[in-house]
Amino acid sequence: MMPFALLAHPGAGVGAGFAAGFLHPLTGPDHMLAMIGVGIWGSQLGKPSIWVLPVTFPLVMAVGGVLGVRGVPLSGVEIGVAASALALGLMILLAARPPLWVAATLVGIFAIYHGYAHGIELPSSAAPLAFGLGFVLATGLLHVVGIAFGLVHNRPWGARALRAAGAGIAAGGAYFLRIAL
Amino acid sequence: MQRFPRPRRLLASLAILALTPGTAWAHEFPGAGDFYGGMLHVVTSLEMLLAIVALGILAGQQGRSAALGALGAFPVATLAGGLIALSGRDLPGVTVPLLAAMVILGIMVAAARPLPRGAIIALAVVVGIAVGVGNGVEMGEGTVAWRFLPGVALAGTLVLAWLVGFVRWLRAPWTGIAVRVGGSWIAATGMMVLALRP
Repeated sequence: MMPFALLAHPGAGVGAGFAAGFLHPLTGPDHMLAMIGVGIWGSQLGKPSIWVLPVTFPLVMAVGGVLGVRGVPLSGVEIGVAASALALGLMILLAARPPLWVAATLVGIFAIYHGYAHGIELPSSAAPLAFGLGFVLATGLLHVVGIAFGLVHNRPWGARALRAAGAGIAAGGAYFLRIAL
Repeated sequence: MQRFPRPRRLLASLAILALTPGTAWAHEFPGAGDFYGGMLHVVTSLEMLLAIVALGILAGQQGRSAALGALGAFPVATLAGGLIALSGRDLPGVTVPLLAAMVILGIMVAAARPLPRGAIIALAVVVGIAVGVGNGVEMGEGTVAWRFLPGVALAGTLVLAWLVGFVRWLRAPWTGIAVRVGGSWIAATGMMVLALRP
């Protein structure tokens, strides 16, 4: 309530920049599916992935973001994002348990694509720091949503519910991949 | 005095955290006076606020001795930075150092490795000087420095103390991971904005 009432101030660029950044990951369904997928897969894999993924993902994503900010050409970003949703969905559906470094590498490659897609928007923002903070927070909170959902893993029906969610994420990813190709 | 049950206190703290940054982003505060103007100036600059927040989280995470060291060093360094700004010398901008501090402090929080107390104090001094210089050079004509700068140091230290207290108050095992995740968010944000610089 209060923040919105005061958005008319000259410094409103910060509020608007934050809002734009925060909404950026939330308005791309392909991003949203993949980020929730990261959280679900993390909690399905259990320790240590459940915390390794949400701690390292933002840092690797920032590397992709830096590439985007600097305008380094990277082809097939949309394909990469959609493919990451598809692959993560399949991993959850199959309840795949690769070694941690394989999971981390897989998620890391996707993180670079995601960061790039957001980072390329950063220089055009009037308040880049607020935009960056907004999009990192929104991405992280999507992981939290996935992890929270993944906590049903230990219930009798939980493992099956998670795999069903994985099927949904994979189907969404396949749809967006078809559009991107 | 009756104390709130923990979840309610946590929610109240989060609500304050969520609402505070939005209250005033303008950088001139007519009617606030120079002391309160200084207090508002430091908390309405996002890169300063985030660097102080990252420092507070790290200091709190590192334990009591490091936290007290940072809390003692920060206000002194902030005042020193303000005096450096007053000297009128041609000073480099503080945005890049503050963003770099976000990255370094955030990665340290994410790594959650024990650090020597001296390192934490040194980081508090660096952030404090950057905050002091950054606020000092933006003082308007006719602002009274001996009112404005203590306001800056007080508000910065309050934010720092609040974060230290918050992190040290956390007990549940998962909150340790949540703190590390928060550090990685701050580092990621700083890294990308730092890349904007030529």
